[in-house]
Formats: sequence, C-alpha cells, structure tokens
Amino acid sequence: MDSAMAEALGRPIGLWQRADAPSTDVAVSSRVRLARNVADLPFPPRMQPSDVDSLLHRVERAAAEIPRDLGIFTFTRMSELTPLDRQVLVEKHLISRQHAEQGRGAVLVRSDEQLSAMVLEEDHLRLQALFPGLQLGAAWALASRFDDALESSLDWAFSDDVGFLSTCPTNLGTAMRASVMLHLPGLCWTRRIGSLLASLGAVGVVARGLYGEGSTAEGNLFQVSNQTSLGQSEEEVVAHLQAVAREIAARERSAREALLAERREAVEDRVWRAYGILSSARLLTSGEALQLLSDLRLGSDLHVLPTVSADGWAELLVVTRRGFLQRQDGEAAPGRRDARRAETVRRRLAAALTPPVPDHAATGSVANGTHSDQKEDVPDA
Amino acid sequence: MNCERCHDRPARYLVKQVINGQTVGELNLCEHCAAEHGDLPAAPGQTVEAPFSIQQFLAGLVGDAGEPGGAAPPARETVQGLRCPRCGRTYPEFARTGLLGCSECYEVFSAQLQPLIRRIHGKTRHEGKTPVRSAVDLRRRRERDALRHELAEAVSREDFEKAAELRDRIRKMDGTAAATS
Repeated sequence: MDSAMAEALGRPIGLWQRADAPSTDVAVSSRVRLARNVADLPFPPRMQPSDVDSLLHRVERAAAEIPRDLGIFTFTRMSELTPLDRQVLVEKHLISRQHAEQGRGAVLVRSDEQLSAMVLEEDHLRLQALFPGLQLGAAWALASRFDDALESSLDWAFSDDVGFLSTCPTNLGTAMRASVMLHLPGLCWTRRIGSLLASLGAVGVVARGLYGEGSTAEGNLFQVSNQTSLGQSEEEVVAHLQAVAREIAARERSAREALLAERREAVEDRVWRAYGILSSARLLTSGEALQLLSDLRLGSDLHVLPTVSADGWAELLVVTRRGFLQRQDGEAAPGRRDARRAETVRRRLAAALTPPVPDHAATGSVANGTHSDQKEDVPDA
Repeated sequence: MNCERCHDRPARYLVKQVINGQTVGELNLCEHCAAEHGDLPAAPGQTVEAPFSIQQFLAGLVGDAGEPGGAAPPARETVQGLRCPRCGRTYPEFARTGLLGCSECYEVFSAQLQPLIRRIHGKTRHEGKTPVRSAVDLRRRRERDALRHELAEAVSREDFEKAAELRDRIRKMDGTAAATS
C-alpha cells in the first residue's frame, strides 16, 4: 500500500475539512458526485476480467497524467486494502458501502482527500468533490475540473440526447448527485423534521440519514440531494439544492432559537449532560456517542457550551466509528471497543473545545450521569 | 401475494417510490428482499452507508413501460428476445436488475427505455455539460459529414475540380483525426 493511503487511513479527517467555511453551524459538508463510464468498455455488470484489467490500467495511467495544479493523487486497488481499511474509507465517506463490500476495482484519492473516485462501483468511475459547510457551487466547479482532467486521457460514454451514459438509467444525463450533510437537532427536537422532509419531494430533493435509511437519522444528521439527473444543467441543479439547503438551515436556526427562548433549562440540561457523559463515561456505544456528539454540537452552536471547532467535531464523529477505532487498536478484542471509544472521546474532547470547561461546571452536570429520555419534554411542533 | 422480486417468499412490505409528490412505483417485497435493498431501517449498531437503490423500482417499472394512449407495445416474445449485440445483455436481465450492460444497450433497448426515462426524470433530453473531447469528435464528425454531402453534390454536377478539393479536405481531416487519437 502506498504511504499516502496509509496516512489517509490513519487520520480521521482530510485536510479539506480543516478549512473555514460558510454555514457550518448547520451544514457539515457539501458533495458533488459524477458518474462516468469509459466509452469502449462494457459497464460493470457485463465486464470480463480482461475488461476490468484494462479499465484499472487506463484509470491508473489517466490519474498519473492529472496536471499537478489539480493536486497529487494516489491510486489504490481494493485488493491491497483489508476489509477494515475499506470500512474506514466508508466512515470517511470516501467510498460507498457497496464498493467496500464488493472489494473489486480501486480508489483514487487526492492527498487532502477533497477529490476522490471510486473505480468500478456501479459505474466505471464515480468522482467526488467534498467541501466543508455549504459550498455546492465550489464543489461542482472542482468536480468538473477533475472530470476534465481525467477526460483528457479517457473517452466517456456520452450521447447528445441523453448525456452521460450510466449503468442505471436513474443517473443518466448530468450523472450528477449533489448533496449536503445537514445537522438538524433543532428540527428533530421540535418534531418539525417529519413535515420538512415530506415537503422536500415536492421540490425534487431527497433526504436520507448519515448512514442508511433509518427513519430517525443517527446523530440528527441528514443528507439532502437532487432526485433526478436528466434535463437540467449542473449549475441549475446545484443552485436549486443550495437554495433548498439554505432554507432548511434557516428553519433549523429558528427552531434552535425557539428552543432556547422557550425551554432554556431543558436545552442547557441536555447539552451539559452530553458534555458530562462524553467527558466522563467509561463505556460508550457508537449510537450513544453519535447522539451525544450531536447534543454537544448543538450546545456549542447555541453558545451554551464552550465552542467545539467544526473540524474537531468532525474528527470526533470519525474516531468513534467502529472501523476507525478498531483499526487504531490493531488486534484489540471487540469487547473492549466501547471502553476504547469512551477513552478516545475523553482524550480528544478537551482539545476540541475552546475555552476549556471549568471544573465546577463539568462536575456539576455529571453528578447524575444517566442520559434520561428528554423526548417526554418536547413541545408540540 | 408473493414477493415481486424473488417470487419465493410472501410479500410483507409495500415499498413505494415517490417523485415530486407522485407515487410512480410500488413493489411488494418480502422481508429478505426489502432488507437487502436497504429499504428497512438499518439494524442497531449497523453504521455503514446503505445506498438507497431504486433499481428494484426500475425492475418493477420496466416491462410496464407502456403509457396510456401510447402505441401498442411490441409482442412480449419480441421484447423478451432482445439482446445487445455488443455486450450480450438480454432484455430479461435488464428488466430484472434495472442495469444496462454497455453504452450500446441504450440504443438496443431504446424503445423500452424512452418511456422509463421520462417517468424517472420527467425529461428526455440532456442539458448541461458535454465532454470536451467527445464534443470535439462530434464537431469533427459533423463537419466531415457536411463535406461528404458537398462532395456528393459536386460529383453529381460533374464539378470535378471542386470534388477533388473537397476530397483532399476530407482526407486531411481523417489524417489529423488519426494522428491525434
């Protein structure tokens, strides 16, 4: 394995996530993904082993010819990665679960992880650009440059009528999926999230959880993305989704303000409890960690808790994931994982917060350390 | 009723696809097939991304692509026997998986795809980015076609001087195309 890939697997977040960005109080990250297929090869479902070899060689060569001003890329075959390595790439949103499970093809990653590509997932290539906060326009512009750079040595399957040809007709056209990861604790707490998500369909936007299709998204994190890909230019789609995300963010902020105005004690109690448990617990499951980190972030955004930096928080999200934790631990027994998770959070929490939390405040809220079900106190939406 | 995907187990979930507020597809699935396609909430502790696959909807929509008032669909046997000459994808395979085998499949199954594409996207024509190089090829091809047309006309009116000039230009174009590819 290339040393750049080993480094990427060892750190929780890429350098792109450390940059300052707009709207990070609600928008965690913005992503643009483009599906591309090479014109003279069959699509993945019909590829013979010789086609697969040909694709991998061509993409590896094309990657080597990417102009230096677009950055330095590492091409890694999936066969060089252990299942645990692949799991970490899923947790860092660099590859899909499907790509990790199939274990064939390759992954192409820029040194800062802002640009990456899955090779041989559902399509020959799935390129993506990631930006912190709400920056879909920038993500599209960079993804398009990445696309141009690869296209200078690869011929894309394209039709004048229906655009970029994809394995599944649902991605036809621009073959673009733009998405924003949103943190919506206010809308979840006030139970406005359901009607909001239901109304998104009417404007051509779909929502899903951080990982999976659960009706309640873990950690109050939701991904919203465009539903269709044919008949609208990339710029139109991106501008529309950006406007929808901005609208959701405005509603989330007003829900948070309403919570603070009407239920300040309940809010303070909840976020300080989260802080108390995260800074003191000896065992943490991944689900609990995610919920508490959401509360911690809410407390920071509302200035009830000390400020947790956007990148420090993003790191905490990844270091508490199963794969990352296990890979850091080497051969540690799975039974030790919850203990290791709690220890990791305790160690990292202080560094993520400014200013440091005074002792009396911390001890004050940890006294009754059980995380009670506050949903009983929810005001009607 | 049995699962519409595996046709083996009893259907226990009704899965709907809604686009722009309209239900465009429904599938009755068994627990196994529904879970496999990520349509059920992830199990506790399962923290991997389950991409929402709409292929199962496609599978349900393909073959039911005839539109009200549209032309009568071709005989079932004819459609079932369709096969892409380039990659070997058969129509039943496409109908089962919702996935195409190569770019040529879009031509071969075009009659079945057109209504499906309209139902998925609400549109049938691409707007937006075109690849830089393919677009260059496209321009070159169109230019070449235009020259050939002119050449045929010149020949038919016995303007051999013009014809020779046009032939040289076409040869020169083919030469540059071969040199750059």
